[in-house]
Amino acid sequence: MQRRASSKSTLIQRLSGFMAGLARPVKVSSWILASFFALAPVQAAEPTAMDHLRAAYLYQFTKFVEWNQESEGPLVIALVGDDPLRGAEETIIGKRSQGRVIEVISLGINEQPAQTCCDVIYGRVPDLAELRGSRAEWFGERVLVVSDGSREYSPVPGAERWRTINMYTENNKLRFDVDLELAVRSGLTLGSELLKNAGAVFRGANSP
Amino acid sequence: MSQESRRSIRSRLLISQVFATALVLGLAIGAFIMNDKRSFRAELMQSLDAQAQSIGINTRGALAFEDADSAANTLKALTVYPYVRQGGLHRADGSILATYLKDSLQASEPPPLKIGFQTTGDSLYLLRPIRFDGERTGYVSLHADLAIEKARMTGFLTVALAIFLASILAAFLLAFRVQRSIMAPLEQITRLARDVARKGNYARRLMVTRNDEVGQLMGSVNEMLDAMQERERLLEVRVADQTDALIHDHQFMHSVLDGVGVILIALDHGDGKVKTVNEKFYDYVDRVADETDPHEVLGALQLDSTLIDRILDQQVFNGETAEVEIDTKPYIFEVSHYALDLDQEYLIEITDITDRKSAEVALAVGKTRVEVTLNSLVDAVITADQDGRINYLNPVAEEILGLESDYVLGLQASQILKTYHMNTENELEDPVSFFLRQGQEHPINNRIMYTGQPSKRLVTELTTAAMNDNDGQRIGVVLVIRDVTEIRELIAQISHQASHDALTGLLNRREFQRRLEFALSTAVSDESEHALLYLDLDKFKVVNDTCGHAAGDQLLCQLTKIMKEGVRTGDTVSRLGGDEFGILMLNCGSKKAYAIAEKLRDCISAFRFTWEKETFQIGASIGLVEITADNANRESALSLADAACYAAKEGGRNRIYVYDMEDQAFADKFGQVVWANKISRALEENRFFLVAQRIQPIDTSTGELAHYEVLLRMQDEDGSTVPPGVFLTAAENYGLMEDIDRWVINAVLSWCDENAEKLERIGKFAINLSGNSISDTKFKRHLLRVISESSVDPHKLCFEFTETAAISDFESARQFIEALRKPGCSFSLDDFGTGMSSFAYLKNFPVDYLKIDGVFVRNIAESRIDAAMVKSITEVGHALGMKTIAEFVENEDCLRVLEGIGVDYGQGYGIHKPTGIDEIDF
Repeated sequence: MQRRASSKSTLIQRLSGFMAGLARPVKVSSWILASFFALAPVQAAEPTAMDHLRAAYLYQFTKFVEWNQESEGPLVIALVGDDPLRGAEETIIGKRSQGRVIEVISLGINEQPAQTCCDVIYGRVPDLAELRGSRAEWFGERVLVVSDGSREYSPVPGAERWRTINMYTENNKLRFDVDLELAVRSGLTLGSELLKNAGAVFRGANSP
Repeated sequence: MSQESRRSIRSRLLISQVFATALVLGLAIGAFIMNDKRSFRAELMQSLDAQAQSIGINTRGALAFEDADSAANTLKALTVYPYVRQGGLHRADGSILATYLKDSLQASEPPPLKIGFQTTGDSLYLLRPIRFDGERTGYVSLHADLAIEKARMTGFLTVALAIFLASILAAFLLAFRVQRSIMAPLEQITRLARDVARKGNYARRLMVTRNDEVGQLMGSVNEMLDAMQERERLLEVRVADQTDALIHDHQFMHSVLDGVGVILIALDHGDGKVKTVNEKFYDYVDRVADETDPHEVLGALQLDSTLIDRILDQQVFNGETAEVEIDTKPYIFEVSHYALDLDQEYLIEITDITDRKSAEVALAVGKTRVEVTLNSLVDAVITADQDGRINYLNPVAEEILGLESDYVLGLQASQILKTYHMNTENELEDPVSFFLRQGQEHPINNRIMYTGQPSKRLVTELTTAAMNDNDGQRIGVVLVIRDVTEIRELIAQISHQASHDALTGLLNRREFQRRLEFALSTAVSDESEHALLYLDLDKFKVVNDTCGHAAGDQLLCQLTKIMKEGVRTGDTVSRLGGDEFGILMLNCGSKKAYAIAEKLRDCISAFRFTWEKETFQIGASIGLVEITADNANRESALSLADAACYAAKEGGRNRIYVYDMEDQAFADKFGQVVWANKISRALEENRFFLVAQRIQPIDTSTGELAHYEVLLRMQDEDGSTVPPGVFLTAAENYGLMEDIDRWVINAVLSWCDENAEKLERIGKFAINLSGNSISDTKFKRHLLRVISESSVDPHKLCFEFTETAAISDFESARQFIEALRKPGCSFSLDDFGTGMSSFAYLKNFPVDYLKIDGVFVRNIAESRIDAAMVKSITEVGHALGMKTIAEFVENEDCLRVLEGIGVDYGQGYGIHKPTGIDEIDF
C-alpha cells in the first residue's frame, strides 16, 4: 500500500514502489530507484479524457456521501489494480471534499490493508472482485466501493452485491448506477443529487 | 382695491379648499405609486433571488456530473414565473451547461457576467453563484421582463387619476354647500346691521336656527341689540331721574346736612343772617328764639362772645377748640368755617370732640404707663413701623445699641441692628426686616451683638412679635432683646464643671462616657474605627502615701499635661477616677493607637516627679481596645479597656496590653474584672438581697426550732437575679468578700432588729463567712462590735465557713471562733468531707455543727458507700460533741436514711427551697 501525493515525484515514487514489489527480495534504496527513473525516459500510458472524467466523478461522489462518522483527517481513495486511472487521479489529489483533503493510495490486490485504511475503493471490476475474494469481511464497512466496468456489473436482483456505485460508458458518455440498499448497509448516506443523476438506483431486492 | 380683496370670501374659500384637496390627493397618490413601484421591484428581485438560489441547490449534482438534461429539467421550473424570460446554468468557468427560454421568445444577449442584479431597459438580470462544499461550482443566470411592472404602473395611474378627479369634484361640491350655509347668515347679519344703522331700529332680531359658530354669532348680534336697546331705555330713565333730582335739590341738601354728625350753621354772607341750622344743633339746644340771629344761635351753644365775634368775622382758626357747659354738662367743641357758593354763603362747622378728647387723655395716660413700664424693663424693647423704621426704643435698648433715641428714631432697623451668628460670627439679617418680610420670627434667635466703646460682646436672645391695631391689622413689629451674656457664661461654667474634673481640668468620667457612646454609635453607623486607651498609673499610691495628697494632686496635674501633649489634637483625655485615665482616639486604627500608647508610656516613664527633695519615677499600664462595630457597646468597651489595663498591670506594669478577643486567659480575667465592677456597683447601689433556706431537725419529736441559712443574691443592673456562684469567685479574687460579708452581717442584724417576733420562731440564722474575713482581725472586731450594738441575741447567730477557708489560716480561724463563741455565737464547718477532710483538725476546731457535703447525701438512698461515709462523719461529729447537718436532701427516701443514721439536721430542696427572707412564714 502506497500513499500518493501530487506532482511528478509522486509518480516516480509510485513507480519505484511498483519496482520494489517486483524485486522484493532485493533490498534497494528507494532513492536510487527514484534517481534512476528520474534520469531514464519512461513510456507511461497517458490518461484519456474519460480517465479524467472518471477521476472527476470519483471526486464528486465523495461530496454527495455522508460518511456518518466524525473525521477531520484526509479522505483516502484507494485505487485497486494496476493504475486504473492512468494518472488522472493527479487532478484530484489535494482537493478538499467536505473539508477533508483528498489523498490517493494504491492498493495491490494481494495486500492485506487495515480495515480503516481508506474511505473509497475504486478499481476495475475484475481487480475489485479479486480483492474482495481475499478481504470480503471488511468490504463495504463505511467504505464507498466504486467499480468501473460495463453496465452489466451494475447491481441487479439476485446477483452478488458489493459495489455501491458502478461507473460505465454509454453512448460515449460516462454514467453510473447506484446500489442504495448496499450504501445503507455500509453505514453510508447518499445525497439526493447523486441519486437524481444516477442512471439507475437499486433500492432493494424487490426493486428493479 | 386689489383683485384678491375684490374676490368674494366664498370664491376664495372654494378655491383654497379645492386646491388643498388636489394637493393632498396628488401627494398621496404619488407617494403610493412610488412606494408600490419600489415594493414591487423589491418583491421581484427577492423572488428572482429565491428562484436562483433554489435552482442552484437543485443543480449541484447536474453541475457535478455534467448532466445537462437534469439541469434543463430543473430550469423548466421557471415556466411558472411569467416574468422570467430566460434562464441559464453556467459551469464554474462561465460556460453554459443548460438554458431555459420562455415560450417562443428569441434568446436575448445577456449583459456581461457580473454577480448580482443589473437593469437594462425593460430587463432585469440576475447572476447568482452556486457554492457547494466550499467551492464555487457554477452560476445561475436569470433574465426577467420588466414590462409587467410598467403595465402595472399604467393601470395604477389610470385608477389614481379617476379617483383624483372624482375627489376634486366631491370636494368642490361639499365646499360649495358648506360655504353657502356659512355665508347666508352673514349676509343676514349684514342686512340687519345696515337696517339698525340707517333707521335706528333696535327691535329687529335675527332668526337663530343653528347651534354652530354662525349660530352663536347670530345669537351674539341679537344680545348686542338687546344691550343697546336696554342702554337706550336706561338713558331715558336717567334723564327723567336727573330732572327729579333737580326738583328735590333743596330738600336733599337739608337731609344731607341733617344726616352728618356735626353741627352745621349756614350764614348768608350778605346780610349775616343764619340761613339754616341742621338737626344736630338741636341735640344740644332745645330751641332758639330767633333762628336767623347768629349771635343767638351760637350763644345757645354757650360759646364765648369773643369767640362768636371771631367766628362771625371768620377770624377763627380752623380746628380751634372751645370748652363749654350746656345744662351743667361739659363739652369741648371744635370750630371750623368754610366759604360756600362763591362766597355768597359760609358754613360754620362745630364738632363735639368731648369723647375724642377723653379718649386721647386716656390714651396719653395709657401711653405714659406703657412707656414707664417699658423703660423699667431690663430687656431692650424696640418697635418699628410697617416699613421697618424704628419708632420707639426703651433706655435698655439705647444702652445695648449704644445709640440715643433721637438718633435712632426714623432709621431703618437694618441700619442699626447688627447681629451675628453665635458660632460662625457671620452677620445675620436683622430680625425686624425678616419679620416684616416673612411674617414670622427668624429661626435663629440667639445671637451675638457688639455694643459700646470699647466694643463689648453680648449674647442676646431675640423675640420678635407683630403689633396689631384693633382690627387685627399689623401696624408694626416689636423686638425684645434680652442680654443673656452672664447667664450663658454661668451655664457654660456649670456645664464645664459638670463635665470636667476639678483637679486636672480634664473631662470627667460621665462626659467621657458620653463621648465614648458617640464614638460607638459612629463605629456602628459609619463603620469607622476608633481606639480607647485605659491608663492606670503605677506607683501613684507611693507618692500619695509618702508625700500626701497635695503631692498626689500635683503629680496628676503634671501628668495631665504630659498626656495632653502626647496625644493627637482632637483626642479626648479624661480622668476616670483616682489615678485612672481614659483616652478616646477617633478615627484611629490600632497601629496608630498603639504607637500613641507607647509614646505616652515612654513619656510618663521618662518623667521624674520631684517633691521636697524626693524624686519619684512613675509608670503607666495601658489597656488598648479597638472600637469597631463588633464591640460597639459602651459598657463592654470601657470594661474591656479596664480589663486590658489590668492585664497590662498583671504582665509586669509599665506595659501596654492590646485587647484580643482570642486570648482565653484574658477572657477569664476579663469576666472577673467585669463582675468585680458589677459587685462594687451593686454594693454602692444596695442591689444585694437575702434569701433563706430552712435547716430542718430530722428528729421532729424534740420540738427544736428550725435553723435558716442566709444566702446572698445580687440583682443585676437589668433587674435579673444573679446567683452567688456567678459573682463570688470574682469577689474573692478581687478582695471584695469582706465587703460582702459586712453587708450580709449588717443586713441580717437589721432584719433581726426589725423582726424580733419572727426571730423568736427561728432556732439560728446560719451566716456564711469567707476565708478572708475569718482571718482578718479588723473584721473580727467589726463583727463583735455590731453584734454587741445590736439587740439580737448572739445565740441566734451561727457562722458557717468552709474547711478550706479555715485551714488556710488555721490559727487566725481558731482565734476568730473563740472570740465569737464568747458572746454566744456558734459555728458550722461547711462542705465537710470534700476538702482536706482531716478528722484530726476537728479535734482542735471548736465548731458546733458539721455540714456534710451534698455529694455524700444526694444519692444516699441508693449508695451504701455514701451512707457509710455519712454515718462515719456523723459518729465522729457526735463523739466530738458536734451536731451534723446533711445538705442536698432532695426527697423523702433520702430523709429516711439520714434519720436512720442519726443525722441531726437536713437541708435541701426536698425540705425547703431558698426563699426571700421577707416572704418566709417563720
